[in-house]
Order: sequence, then structure tokens, then C-alpha cells
Amino acid sequence: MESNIAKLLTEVDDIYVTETIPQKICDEVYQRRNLHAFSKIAVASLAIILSLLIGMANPVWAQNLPFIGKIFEFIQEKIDFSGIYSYYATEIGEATISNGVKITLSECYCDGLNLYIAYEIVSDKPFEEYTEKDYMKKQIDYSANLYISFEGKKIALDDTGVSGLEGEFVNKNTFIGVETLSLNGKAFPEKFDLNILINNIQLLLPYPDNEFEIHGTWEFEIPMESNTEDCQVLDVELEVEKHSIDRVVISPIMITVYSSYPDIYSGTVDYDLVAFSDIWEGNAAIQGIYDATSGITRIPRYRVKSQLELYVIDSSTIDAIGIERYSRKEISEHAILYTKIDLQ
Amino acid sequence: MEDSKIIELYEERSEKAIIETQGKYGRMILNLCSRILKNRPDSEECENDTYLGCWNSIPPQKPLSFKAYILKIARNLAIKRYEYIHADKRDIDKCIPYDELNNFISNQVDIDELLSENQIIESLNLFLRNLPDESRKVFMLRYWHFLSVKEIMSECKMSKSKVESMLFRTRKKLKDFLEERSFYGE
Repeated sequence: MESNIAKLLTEVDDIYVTETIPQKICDEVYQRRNLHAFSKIAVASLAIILSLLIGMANPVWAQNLPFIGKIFEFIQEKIDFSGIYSYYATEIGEATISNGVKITLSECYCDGLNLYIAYEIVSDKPFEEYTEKDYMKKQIDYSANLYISFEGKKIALDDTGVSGLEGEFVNKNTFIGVETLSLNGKAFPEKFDLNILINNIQLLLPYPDNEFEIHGTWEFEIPMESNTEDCQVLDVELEVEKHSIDRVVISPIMITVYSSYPDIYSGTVDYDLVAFSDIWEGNAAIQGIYDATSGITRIPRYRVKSQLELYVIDSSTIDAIGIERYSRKEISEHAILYTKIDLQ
Repeated sequence: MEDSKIIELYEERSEKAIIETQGKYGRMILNLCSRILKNRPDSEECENDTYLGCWNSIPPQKPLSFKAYILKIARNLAIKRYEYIHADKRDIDKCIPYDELNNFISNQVDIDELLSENQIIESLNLFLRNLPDESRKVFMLRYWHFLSVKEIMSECKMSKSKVESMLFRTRKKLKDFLEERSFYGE
């Protein structure tokens, strides 16, 4: 038999053929629009929009909304690392159940430097029945072995400083959240497998209890692709007194600034890179990872419209009241290095 | 005219059946054939052969979905012609989605030895049924309707990276799915 997938695909069920006929072609064929049909579509669309709006405002309705494939859309404006994830993310929909808890990797997007994953966690038992204590409602942590594998290599993933998933409980049994993972500033390979082995999920409790653990085994191996074509790399290579801003990588979600400095501070304590933008009040940078001689600073993309100003400072000369309290003028007066970046 | 009426015309052996089919689905058929063949005269010939195929098969066939039925005939004819053209390298233009899918699968698993044609079609149906709606749409647009990535971006209002990523992941899923069924099937 000369089987051939593209050819055999012709014979799949009719429904898959008709439901996916491109609209453009349909429009070409049916040039005369049926007003009655159009108004029916408009009414149906309005009903869907209304139900979504009511669902978002009302948690009782929200618990019935299907989240898989739409978590970013639902939550992307509500988290610290806001961004238009849903435009770039693809649906995964892989789920694993253990100990009465189903964890689904709903969507993901890898911009080349960061990997953003949307999760849904559904427990058979309402979460509030696990512990009487008041746990955090915007975060769930977990203990996991996270790494990527490609070409026989394995590299551990870093959770970029945020503990677990940032998100919300949409009903008593369901939490949806977003996790950002990275390779500490190193680029992801073009193609790789994402390997996740979660050993427990944790409801975060106030100190000193710290957390309540729900144990289980949730394992995932997902083929992934890194997409850098929506990213812009600017080689700045500006150096003053051995301090330098080397590179800025602008992705649709995150701006990552690579910097280097002389190893004179015995660590990271006194080094700071402060970012000001045309639309954000105060320091727009949200995270930084600094080792002895180089570091990366992350700035959410939504905090910058078109202009970014970067200042490198020795914070020991300024930090008496906390760097966040200084104005742009004061920061600029103490800057060792300054550069302005125009985003396209 | 409703599809059921057109089918009745075929059953009555009325030549008006072909005129109605062409009026309603002609552009759609020609569009599909052109995406595969990249060649207007061959596509038009396939379109005409599609009407003939319909005429010869209805009756006895009475398709539940006439639209899917006629598109399937057109797709089969266009693919056969595509294979004929490329067998002797008569044309350098390639139908990218066709080659992409076949090369991908054939490099990974010899499905012919282990599965019958019907089993593969059943497997493909099961695979499509289990795909998320969005992934299924993108997969079918690319590999059934032969849209370019750019056209899918416009059709689904998605970024290029999203479309490519979705196609990559779905192809990988299909490979794993077929491998699994080949190894563990009858």
C-alpha cells in the first residue's frame, strides 16, 4: 500500500473538513451576505461576550468557564508580569492526575529567553478543606524538578525568582496561574523537550507555617519550540570604567538587559541597574540576577512604550533610604553609566 | 440552492446539477486545487474532473455533507495530479504542506507495514477528535486546505510564531500517536 499521510487525511470525517474551511474562501463563494444570518451571528457574539464579562465579574459564573487554552487571556492583565501572552502562546492541554488533583499545562510561549507556562490546577476536594488556615489567594507554589532536554543534554530551569504560580483561585476547586521559567539569561535552544516532575503543590500560609503541601506525582514531557522572531536584539556595548551595558533583548513580554561590571563589590549587594521608561513611574525593572561580574535585569514589556533609559549605579553611594525612593534626576546624578534605548 | 436539492438533481441525472455545483462550490474547489498544484490550467482541469467524479458517483452515493464530499473529490484529484507532475520532476514548484507532512511521518515510522489504510484513517479521526479545537483548526488549514502560514495567521488572528509552534507541536503529537498505534496495534 502506498500510504501517505497527506493523502489519507483527505478521508477524515466530514465534520473536520467543513468546520475548518477558511473563512476567506467562504466569503469569496458567498458574496451576498445574508442579513438575517449576520444579525444572528451578531446576537450570538454579543451573548458570548456578555457571558464572558459576567463570568469574569462573577466567580460563581466563572467556575463554569472552560479555561484550558484560554488561561493567559483570562489572567494576563491581572498578574505582575502582565503582557499579551495569549497572542503568542500556543495551547498544550496536557493533563496529569495524582492524589485527586489534576494539573493541566494549558498554554505556553517561549520567547527565546523566557518560557511562560499557564497552568490549571483542579482538586477534587475544595482547597479550603486542606487547611483551616488562611492561605494566599494569588499564588500557589510547588516543588518540582524542572529542566529542558535537547540533543542528549539536560539543563535545569530557573523559576526567575517568583515562587510558583502567580494567578488566582477561580472557584473552590480550581486555581489558574502563570509560571515564568528561564535559563538564567541563556538562550533556549530552537527545539527542546520541557520536562516537569512536580512532587507537591503548596498552599502558601502566613509565617511561621509557611505552606501546606499536597503530595503527588505530576509528570510532563512537552516538545517545545523557541520563537525569537518576535524579539529584537540590540547590541549596546557601552562601557564606562569597566561597567558596561552589553545587550538588550526585547521580546513581546519581557525586556532583558545584559550588563557587566568589575568584580569590586564581592557580590551583588552594591550594584544596581535602574530602568526608567516613557510610561512607567519609578523603576520599571522588576527582577535582576547578578553574579560577581555580570547580570541580567528584567523589565516587563508593558511598562515601556517606546523609550527606555538605563542607569548603572553603585547603590552604596545612594541607597540610604532605598533606591526606589530616589527620583530619576537623583539616580542620574549618581549614575556610572547611562544609555537611552529607542524601542521600535 | 440547498445541497440536498443539488444531490436530487444528480440523482435525476439532470445536467443542471453540475451548473449548480459549479455556481456554489466552483471557487472553493478551484481555490483548493490551486493551493496544491500552483498552476491554473491543471487546477481548472481538476475542477472539471471533480464535477465528473460527482456525476459518476451520485448515485449510488448520497453524501451527508455534499460540501465535504465534493472537496474530498477535488483534493484527491489534485493530489494525484500533484504526484504525477512531481514523479518525473515535471515541475519545480512544491506543495510545501504536502511534503512537510509526508516527509515528517515517513522519516519516523513505516506505518504501511503495520496498519491498513482504514486503520490509519480511523487513527487520524481519533487524533483529530482529541486535539484542542484551535490546534485542530490550524492543523487542518495547513494540511487539509493547504493554506500558507501567513494565511493561517490572518484566518486565525495569530502570530507567525504561534502558528508555527502549534503546527510543530501537532506534528510531533501525530508522530507519537501513529508510532504508538503502530507498535501496539494489531
